[in-house]
Amino acid sequence: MGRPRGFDENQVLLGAAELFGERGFDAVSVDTVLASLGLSRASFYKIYGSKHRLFQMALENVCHRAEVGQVDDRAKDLVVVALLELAPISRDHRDLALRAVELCFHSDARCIGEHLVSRAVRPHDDPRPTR
Amino acid sequence: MSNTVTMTDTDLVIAPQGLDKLWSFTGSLTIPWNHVRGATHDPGMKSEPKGWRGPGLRVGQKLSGTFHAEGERQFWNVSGFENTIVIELSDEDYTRVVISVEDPAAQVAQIAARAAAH
Repeated sequence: MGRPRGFDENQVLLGAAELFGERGFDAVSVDTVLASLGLSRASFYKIYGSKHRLFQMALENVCHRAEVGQVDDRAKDLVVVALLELAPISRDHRDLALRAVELCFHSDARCIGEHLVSRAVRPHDDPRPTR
Repeated sequence: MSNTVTMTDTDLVIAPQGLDKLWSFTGSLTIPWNHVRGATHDPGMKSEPKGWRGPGLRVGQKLSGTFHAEGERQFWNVSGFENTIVIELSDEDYTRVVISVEDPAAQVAQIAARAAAH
């Protein structure tokens, strides 16, 4: 698959995690994904195949980082979006979401709830453009 | 709507409806699940270069048939772009299928779930 010049997959996946974690999955259009991550539509489809697959790879990246102790609010935001929007649609998404819950929240439902509340009331000084 | 999408245990089947079979020169496309990379609701395909047509029809916001863009063969059957979904393929004659469907959000979720399981 052709990567655009200067393509940094880790940066793209971190950016995708931040975007989806902040805005949700269904609410974010492909146009917003492309503008936020600096990808052309052709590259996006060639590399990731779909918006679901990009989300899944961003969540896998969150899991890999959590395994070495790197868990921040952005990672947790993505995990709660995965639980709310993608886990219900398929077993594969659900299995990955539950693994992320274990790594980022130690499968503690109370921690998940507290994070959901903190995400809801967190101020955003620099909201991303809407479409 | 201009296409029906049927999901069997083994294949994704896309069938243009009515006269769209004629315009697109296609009765149906049958794609094994392990050749389906994913599906995305993408009205922004409106602004994407369509490439050259052959064979098929392009009138205003209606595109039916085979289009060649950036060295790739794509199958299009859309009427307007609001309900457009993009299905990305591997190891098929077409690299991408771009179609209008009745309920794009539900269709892409179902296709994503089936594709991920194969």
